[in-house]
Amino acid sequence: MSLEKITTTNIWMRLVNTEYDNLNSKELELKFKSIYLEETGELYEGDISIYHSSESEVTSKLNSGYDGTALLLSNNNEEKLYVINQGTTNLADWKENIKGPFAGKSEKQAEATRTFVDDTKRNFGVGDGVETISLGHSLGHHNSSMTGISDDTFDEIYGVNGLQISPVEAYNYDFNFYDAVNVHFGLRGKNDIYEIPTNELAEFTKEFYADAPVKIHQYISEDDPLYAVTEKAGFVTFGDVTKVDTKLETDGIKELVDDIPDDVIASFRDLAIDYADADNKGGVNEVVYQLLGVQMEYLEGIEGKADLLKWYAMHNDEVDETMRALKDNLPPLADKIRLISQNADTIFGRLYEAGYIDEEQKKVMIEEIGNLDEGLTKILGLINANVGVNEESWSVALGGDIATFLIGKEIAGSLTESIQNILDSGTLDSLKGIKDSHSINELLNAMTKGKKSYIGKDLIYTANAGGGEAIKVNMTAALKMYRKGAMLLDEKRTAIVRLEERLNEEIAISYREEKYKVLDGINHIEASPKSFAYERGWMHRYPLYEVESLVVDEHIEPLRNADMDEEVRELYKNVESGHMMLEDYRKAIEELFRKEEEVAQMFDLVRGF
Amino acid sequence: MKFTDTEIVQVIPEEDHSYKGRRLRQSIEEIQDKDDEFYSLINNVIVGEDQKGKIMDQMSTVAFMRKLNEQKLYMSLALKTIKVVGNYSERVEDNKRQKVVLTYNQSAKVN
Repeated sequence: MSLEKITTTNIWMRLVNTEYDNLNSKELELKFKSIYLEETGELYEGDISIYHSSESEVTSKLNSGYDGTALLLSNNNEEKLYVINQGTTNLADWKENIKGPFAGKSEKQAEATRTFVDDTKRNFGVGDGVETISLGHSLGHHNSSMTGISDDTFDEIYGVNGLQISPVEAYNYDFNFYDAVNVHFGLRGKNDIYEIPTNELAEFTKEFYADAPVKIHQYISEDDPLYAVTEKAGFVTFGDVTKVDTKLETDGIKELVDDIPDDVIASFRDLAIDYADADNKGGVNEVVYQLLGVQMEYLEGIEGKADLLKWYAMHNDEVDETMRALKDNLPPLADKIRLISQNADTIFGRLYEAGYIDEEQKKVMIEEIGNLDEGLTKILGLINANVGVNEESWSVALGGDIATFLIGKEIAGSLTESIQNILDSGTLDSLKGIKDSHSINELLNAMTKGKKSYIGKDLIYTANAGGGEAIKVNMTAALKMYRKGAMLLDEKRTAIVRLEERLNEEIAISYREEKYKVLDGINHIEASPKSFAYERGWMHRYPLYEVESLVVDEHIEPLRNADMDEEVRELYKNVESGHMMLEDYRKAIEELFRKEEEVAQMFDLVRGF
Repeated sequence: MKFTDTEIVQVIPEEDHSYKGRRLRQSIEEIQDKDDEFYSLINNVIVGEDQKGKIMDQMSTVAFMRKLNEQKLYMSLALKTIKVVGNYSERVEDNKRQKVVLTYNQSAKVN
């Protein structure tokens, strides 16, 4: 067994995926061994030490939000330090992935990465000479690369769908690069860097770090939205890159993005994120609330002027809140919608050509985005003409009831109708697939052939049951059940032994002890019978007579009907039948995959850890 | 002239043995806890991991039948615990009460 296997694609990618579960050291060790067994068919027999960034005081003090786990693996005189840098996966984080490097957030995380690696070496008592390998996804890979190319923190970096290096961030992070950029481009102030054409800065960055000793290996999905914007954002890619088409049915998203103007992409991305977040929470009302900050519940039931007057008179706070929200949120939203509306044919045309949406969805989107643009413009006009917000008194002055009514009617009517039509078209669900391409799983599945595939964090084997029916078996879960199930049955057996011991102690042994206590008491009485008779007042109970002798008519019954032998036997039988059930399960799976020898081997070995 | 008389004597004081029932129940609960973990593991795999197909259907049925039988067994263990501790307590307390035979003889003072 060699540590080389740790960096085989399926092992390191699954390890990185597992890091998102924030397992404790014991759970992570178990998961590591499971992944190793599932992917190699062998037992990992080396030593493992685990250190998490939350345990590292110096790293935590940086308050960077960095999350990482270090594994020191040693086997047969070979020792390597693997650092898994956690990335980000949800939509809001994805947005941050793009904005972060410009905002300086990732700079802090790169610093935290370096600090954590140094602290890990101190904690494990290993010198700087230990081979240090980084494994990361998304922002995690970005942090590794940033510190890897500028500080030599890592000897080797493995990244999946990684966020690439931002020259602006490198400029703020690496003093040598800062000086070199200033000299090369003749910069006078820090902000001058933004004046350099993106491609020139990217080219210079590439050349500057060309000799960095770190070896970087990257796997990137051609459908990953992060990859799509890498070039447009002026990021620089280092190392050897394996590009994988993870969605064969659609064109790569990069080609699509390249065709659409940058500002439209940015608007569309922001809106899509808001829509998706709101849609997850629930329906049209939530979408309107996310976009405009307007509580649709307030407007329900307003159908005529009388309702409006009632709302205005009785719920002035709601009117105030609604108008204030509209005044703040409407202008930027209207700008974004207008930009998208002006480019709707290109955007939805390309999405349709690339296979992300169908023709009907394209039609609905173009039409409804146009309607939204029109509706928002109308509301914006009414608000600008009629609503004045007095900041000092925090009150909203309305130019007229009619204006309020029209605003309310427009929101409750045409806007919600358009949003409803968009939601009903399923376009947003279709587009959600775009973010899946940033996941490790989609890439793992695209690279894995044959019967194996991955769902969540688990390895799946697929068998053909005949008649074209495919049977999927979650091998990770099956092995876990086989191993842990047997462990629990053994623990149950131990608990039954404890019950037997307790029964013996509390009933059988205790009965014997009680018997001896009684015999002792009898002996005590018989040893001085007259004293006992005196004590009890029996000595002279009868006039002219006294007790001559006293004998205890000793009568001790054996203990009967005080065992649970039958029940205990039954409990043991259940343990055995439990093991048989697990074995039957194993046999059924082995039978299903009889050609795959590694399946039987995995079951053989899984109980070894 | 002699005669005998009998008395029932409490050789050692009475005691409450109900704590033994609690201790035995605790041991049985430990066994039950392991079963609960076992079924929760199986249930997680069957339901949680979204496993389908004949193998899992069979596993699910076998697990359900086992669980039913085990519930019956635990019920009978609970009743048996009461019976065992009751019998033990009754027997132990009976043993503590012994019959004493007293032989009386005419007092010397009479002569």
